[in-house]
Amino acid sequence: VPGSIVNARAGENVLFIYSIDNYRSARALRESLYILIGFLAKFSILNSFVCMSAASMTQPNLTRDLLEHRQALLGFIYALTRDFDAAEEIFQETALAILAEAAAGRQVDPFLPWAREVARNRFSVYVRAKGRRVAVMSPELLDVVAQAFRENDDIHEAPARPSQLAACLEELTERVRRMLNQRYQGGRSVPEIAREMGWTVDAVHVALSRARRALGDCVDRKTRLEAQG
Amino acid sequence: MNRLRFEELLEKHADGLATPEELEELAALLRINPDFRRELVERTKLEVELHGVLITKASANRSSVRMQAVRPLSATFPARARRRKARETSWALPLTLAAGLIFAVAIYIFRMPSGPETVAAQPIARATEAAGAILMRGEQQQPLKGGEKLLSGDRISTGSAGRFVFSYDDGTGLILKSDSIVELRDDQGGKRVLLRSGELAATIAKQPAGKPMIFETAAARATVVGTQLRLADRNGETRLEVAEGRVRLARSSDGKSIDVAAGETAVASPGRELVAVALEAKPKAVLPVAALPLVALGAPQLQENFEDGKLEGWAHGTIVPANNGSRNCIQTAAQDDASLSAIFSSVNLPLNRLPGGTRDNQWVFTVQPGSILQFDYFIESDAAGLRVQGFNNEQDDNFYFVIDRPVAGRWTTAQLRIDQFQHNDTPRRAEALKDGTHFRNLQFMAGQKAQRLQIDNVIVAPAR
Repeated sequence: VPGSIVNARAGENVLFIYSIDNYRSARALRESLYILIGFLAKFSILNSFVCMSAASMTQPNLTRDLLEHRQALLGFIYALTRDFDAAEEIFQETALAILAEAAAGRQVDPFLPWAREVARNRFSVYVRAKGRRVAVMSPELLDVVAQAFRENDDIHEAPARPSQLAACLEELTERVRRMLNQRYQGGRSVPEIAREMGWTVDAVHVALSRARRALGDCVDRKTRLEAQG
Repeated sequence: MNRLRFEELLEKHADGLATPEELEELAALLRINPDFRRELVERTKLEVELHGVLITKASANRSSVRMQAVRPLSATFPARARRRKARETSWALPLTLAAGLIFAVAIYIFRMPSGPETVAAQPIARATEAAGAILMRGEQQQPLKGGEKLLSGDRISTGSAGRFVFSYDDGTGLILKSDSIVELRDDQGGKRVLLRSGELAATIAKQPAGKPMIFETAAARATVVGTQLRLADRNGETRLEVAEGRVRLARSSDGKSIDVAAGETAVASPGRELVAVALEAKPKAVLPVAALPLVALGAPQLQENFEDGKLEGWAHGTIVPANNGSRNCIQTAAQDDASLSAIFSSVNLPLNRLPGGTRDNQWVFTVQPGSILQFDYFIESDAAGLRVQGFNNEQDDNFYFVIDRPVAGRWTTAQLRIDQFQHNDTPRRAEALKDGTHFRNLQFMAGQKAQRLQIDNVIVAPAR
C-alpha cells in the first residue's frame, strides 16, 4: 500500500510492499525506507525488514530517462563530433535505438552509461556512412573522451544554467556576442567567421577562447552567488 | 606547464584548429590527468548550454515572422540532408512557429519548471525522430524536426520515405510507418490517436484510471490501458495485433466490439466476422523497427554452431534439430535439480576446439578490448531474463550479463559486449573484467526449469 507504514512490534520480521507508478519516486522511497530500516535495526526494533516493489520499480522507463538525460547525452555526442548538426543527427538515431529497446521491454539501470554506449555505436555508424566527409578524432582521443564522461556524470546531473548564461552573455561586447552566435548558433567554422569579420583566424580563436573562459567564470560566479542566497 | 598547454590544446580543439599531433598530445594529457578530463566535460557542458541559449534567443527574435506552408503534402523532406547553408533558410520556417516551442523545450531541458511559458497550447507529445515527416498544424505545413513538441490537433504525414517516432511524457512511444497519416488529440487528459491511413506501432505505458488511450481509424476504435500493439489501416479494414496487455476493438459500422488479448489479432471490416484469433506461431516483433543494429564482427576466437551434432565441450544440453535455418542447435538439458533452464559449456572442451591452453589453464575465450559475444537464442515462453555467464580464470569468479525480458517465441540474435559483464559477487560488482584474462566456460540460463531454451551460433569476436 503506497505510503502506509506497517504496524510492527519489536523483534518482528516485516515485509513492506509498495507500488508506485513513477520509477524515480519508487527509488527515492526505497532509499528512504532503507535509512529508516537501518535506524530501527540499530535499536533492535525490528529483526529484519524486507522491501519489495511493484513492477514499476523494476521497469525503469527508458523513454523518460532519455528525455531526462537528453542534454547529457547530447553533450557526450557533441564531444565526439564537435559539430552540433552531426550531434543532433546522431542523437536522433540514438533516441530511435533507445526507443526500440524500450519497446522491446529492455531495462537499464543506470541509464546514462548504457545510453552513451548506444550513442557511440551510432556515432560509429554515422562516421562510416559519411566516410571522409567528416573529421574524426583518433580512437585514443575518442576513448579518453568517453572515459571523461564516464567519470564525471555528476557534472551533467547538476542543473543547467540557462538564465545565468544568458545574463553572462549580456556582459560581453556586441562583437564577441556576434562571434559566439556565428560559432554556436550558426555553426560557422573559425576560418569562416574570420573571413566574414575580416579578422585573422588566430584573432578569432583568441577572442572565442577568452569569451568561453569569461562565460565559464561568470556562470560559476553567478551560480555560487545564487546558491548563497 | 601542462595546465597551460592543456588549456591551449583544449581551446584549439574546441575551435577545430588542432593538428593531428596536437590532438594526440591532448589525448595523452587527458589520459594522465583526471582533472583535465573533468575540465573537458565541464567545457562541453558549457558549449552545449551556450548552443541551447543562443538557439533559444534566435528563435525568440524571429517569433514575429509568420509561418508559411513550405511544400505540398506529397513532397518528401530529406531532413537529414540539410547542410549549413540550406539550414539557414530552412530554419527560418520552422523557427517562426517554433519560437515559443523551442523556448518551452529549453525550459524542459534546463529544468526551469517555474519559468515563463510562451506557448499558448499545451504540448501533448514530442517528436523523437521525424525523418521526412510533415507537420500539419491548422492550415500550415512544415517539415517536422526531432525534439519538436506536438499539440492537440496536429496531423503528421510520413510520406513515401518518411518515418515518425514520437513519445508522450509517460513513456508511451509510437512509430508511424511510411505512407501514413496520424492526428493527435488530447481527449480531456486522455490520449487519442487518429490513424487516417497507414500503419503504426505503439508501446503504451499504464494509463491513468478513466483515461484510456484511444486509437481510431475509419473502421474501428481500439481502447487501451497499457500494452504493446500494432495497428494497420489498409483498404478500409483495420488490423490490430496485441503483443502485451488487452485491447478493446470496436467496429465503427455497427458498434460491435471485441477484446483482443496478448498474442491475438483481429480485423475490423464491414461484413467480416469480428473475432480475435491467435497470432501466427512465429510472432512478429512488437514494433516494426529492429533492435540495435548488429555490429559487424571480425575474426572469431570462439565459434560454435553445433552443426556436427556433437556435444563435445558442452557439459549440459542436448543437440536437437534447429528450426532457424541451420541443422542443429543446443537445447536445455532437463534437470530436476536445476532451478533454471541452463546450457553450459565447460572446461572439458577438447584441446582441438580451444584457441589455446592446457588442461590446467584452459579457456574458451580471452577478454579483449571490444570483444563481443554473439549468439542466437530461442525461448519457448516469456522469461524474466536470459542470463549469460562464464567463469574467469584470473579473476577467479563468474561474470555475467542478464538480458532482461528476452524475446520469446522466435529466434533472436543477441550481441553482448564482454567488457560489460558484471562480477557475480555483489561487493565486487564494480570490479571490471581485465583484458587478457580468460573465461573457462560459458553458460546460458533462462526462466524456470523445464522451460525450453535453445542456443545456436555462439561467436566471440572483436567488433570490426
